[in-house]
Amino acid sequence: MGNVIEARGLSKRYGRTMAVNNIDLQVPAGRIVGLIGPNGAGKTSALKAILGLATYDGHLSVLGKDPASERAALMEDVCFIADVAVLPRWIRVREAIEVVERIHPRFSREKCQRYLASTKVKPEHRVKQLSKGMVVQLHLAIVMAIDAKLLVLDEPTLGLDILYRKQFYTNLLNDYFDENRSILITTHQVEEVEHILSDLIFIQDGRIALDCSMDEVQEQYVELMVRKDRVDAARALAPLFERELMGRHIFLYKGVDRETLAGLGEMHTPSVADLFVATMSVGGAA
Amino acid sequence: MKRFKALLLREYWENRVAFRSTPVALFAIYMVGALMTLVTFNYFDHEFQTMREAVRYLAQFDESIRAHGVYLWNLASSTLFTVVLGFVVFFYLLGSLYDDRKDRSILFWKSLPASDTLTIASKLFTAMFVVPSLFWLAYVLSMLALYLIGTITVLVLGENPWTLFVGIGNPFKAWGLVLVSFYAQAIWALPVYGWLMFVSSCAPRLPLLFALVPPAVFAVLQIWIDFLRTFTLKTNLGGILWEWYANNPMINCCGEVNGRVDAIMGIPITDTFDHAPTIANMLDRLFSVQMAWGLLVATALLAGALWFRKRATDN
Amino acid sequence: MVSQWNDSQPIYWQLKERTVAMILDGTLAEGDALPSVRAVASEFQLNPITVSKSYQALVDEGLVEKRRGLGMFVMEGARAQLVRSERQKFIREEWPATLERIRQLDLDLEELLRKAQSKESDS
Repeated sequence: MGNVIEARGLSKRYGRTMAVNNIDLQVPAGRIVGLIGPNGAGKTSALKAILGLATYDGHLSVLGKDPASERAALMEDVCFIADVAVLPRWIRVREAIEVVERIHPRFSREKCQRYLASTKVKPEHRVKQLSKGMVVQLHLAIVMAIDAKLLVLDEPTLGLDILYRKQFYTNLLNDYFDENRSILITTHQVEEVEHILSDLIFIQDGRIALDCSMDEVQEQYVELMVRKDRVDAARALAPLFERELMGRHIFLYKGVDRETLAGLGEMHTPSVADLFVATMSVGGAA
Repeated sequence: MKRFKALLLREYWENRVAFRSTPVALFAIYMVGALMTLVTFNYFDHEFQTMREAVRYLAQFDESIRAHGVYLWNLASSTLFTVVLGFVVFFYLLGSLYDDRKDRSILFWKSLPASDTLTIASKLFTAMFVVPSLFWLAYVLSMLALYLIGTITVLVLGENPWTLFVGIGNPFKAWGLVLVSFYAQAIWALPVYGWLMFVSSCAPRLPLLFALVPPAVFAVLQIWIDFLRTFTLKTNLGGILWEWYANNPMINCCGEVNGRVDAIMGIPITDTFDHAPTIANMLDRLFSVQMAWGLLVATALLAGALWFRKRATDN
Repeated sequence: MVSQWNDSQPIYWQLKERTVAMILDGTLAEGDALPSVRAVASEFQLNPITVSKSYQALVDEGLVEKRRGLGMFVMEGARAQLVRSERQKFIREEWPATLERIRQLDLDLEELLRKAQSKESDS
């Protein structure tokens, strides 16, 4: 199967600023990709380009189509949740289901109602009567009932309390994801999605700072907690990043053998958050 | 096709107050008005004397005159519906491509596989045909109810409603004419509808202001410059708009004089259209050069609206 | 958010170790089906690819087999095999490490053994 998303030299300019600056990107099928970056990094602009919501320069193909000119056709196979607040507030649950059913060729009403059965959302409710968490449950139920090949989630759990957040990913993994589908998630709450990701992309100032699979993170990156007396030896091995925590020095290495580091201290795989901080600070000591 | 119908449903659900409650309210107003009239008439005398006299007075007229009167009554009763319809459609179109940008629900609609072209088409279709049809339905139901009330009243008074007003005057022709005129007006108003949708698609806020101010400024400037140059008030946007209003296929009962209308509300019309409310005259306008120009303008504006809509997101 | 996984070993490995522990202590008997990849993925909020990998590791070690259309099942003799290999591991690595520790703390090995044995006969 070809790549679900394929971007080469993708750029987006707003006035004088390059929100997205000449990036290359591939997302194969059956992956869960985390797109992580600070505000203003360009993730929203990149997402909008991918979803046909904005124009762009460069080459971009999603499921073999050009999003800018074929948005409607693309939306038959792509779903997105743009964040919690976008369902029309005046619409009733049953009306929303009715409209989606008529417009979307791959929507299954039974599936949607099955997902809703385990929630408190009722057909007669208007969206404005629902709590934020229930709105997300509804939107997710609708989205999961669509047989799409790509699901794009832009901060889907922003502002939700913990119960709904956990449920969100549980439902997604349980009932939706399989090897033919891909999911692209952006989120600030990196820890929450860390373990469900298969691939990681860091974006900063419109450029890609990191693009690798979680397996590669496991293999290539090592965090070393070093005792004071071995600090110089540790520095000599050209770490990517260094920080200090409660008297211990913590170094991040890329592509350095674990054996080489073995005697210098405790080793472990960096968490995505730590990797993120390390990569985003333009290399160097904390 | 299925998608188009789904979008029409959306428009109806989204604007239920304007599309359903308003016509119902108008119907209610007519009913209340009729009942209040009856009550007033009988408040002062309980023998229905005033009403008996009124009915006898009416019965005096020649049947053909009475028939014509009934016909005109049917037409004239549509006025309230027409006026309110105009306001409803105006504000509906103004919000059609603006509201969902403001509340961000456009991101939901754009996540569905319905093209922007189809979306705009569904909104235009709703404004041109769905809403007028709903208002027409309310109009007809109002008339039927009024006929019913009238019939009962006349029967109670001991006269024959059928010969008096029910069996004469061809109400169906009036109702049909009103319906056709609604659709004809919609077509005639396409340039305006196009302008409203255009503003709706790109105004960053306060679309009403953006819709009214530029044409007003433009018209004033034109009139002034024109005045300074030629000392007349002819070819300018203001004049064009007035001509448009004066010449629309709407039924101009108030100005009708022997089938030809020379003035509306005392202001002379410079065009050559016959103003009698007939279908032939409506078609006349719709197939005129002015209409062609109007369609051109409308197409350009709608293309502009589409261009903006394709690029619209939640900001 | 505190993760239930430590960060010194790959998660798929830790998951495999947990499953091994379940086989050893009898929670998963021989012939039992392993929970589906999806169920585990959503229970632990992991990527299904990760879970597949750990199941594959179990297959590679000969503890679990894949039955077409039915799922993953604990093989016959898996427990015995595990006990054997864990015993070996204990004797090779853990026991010497424990002995070293006892020596480090200056404890008397025979004293400890005697205490342990008397406790056993009491219970």
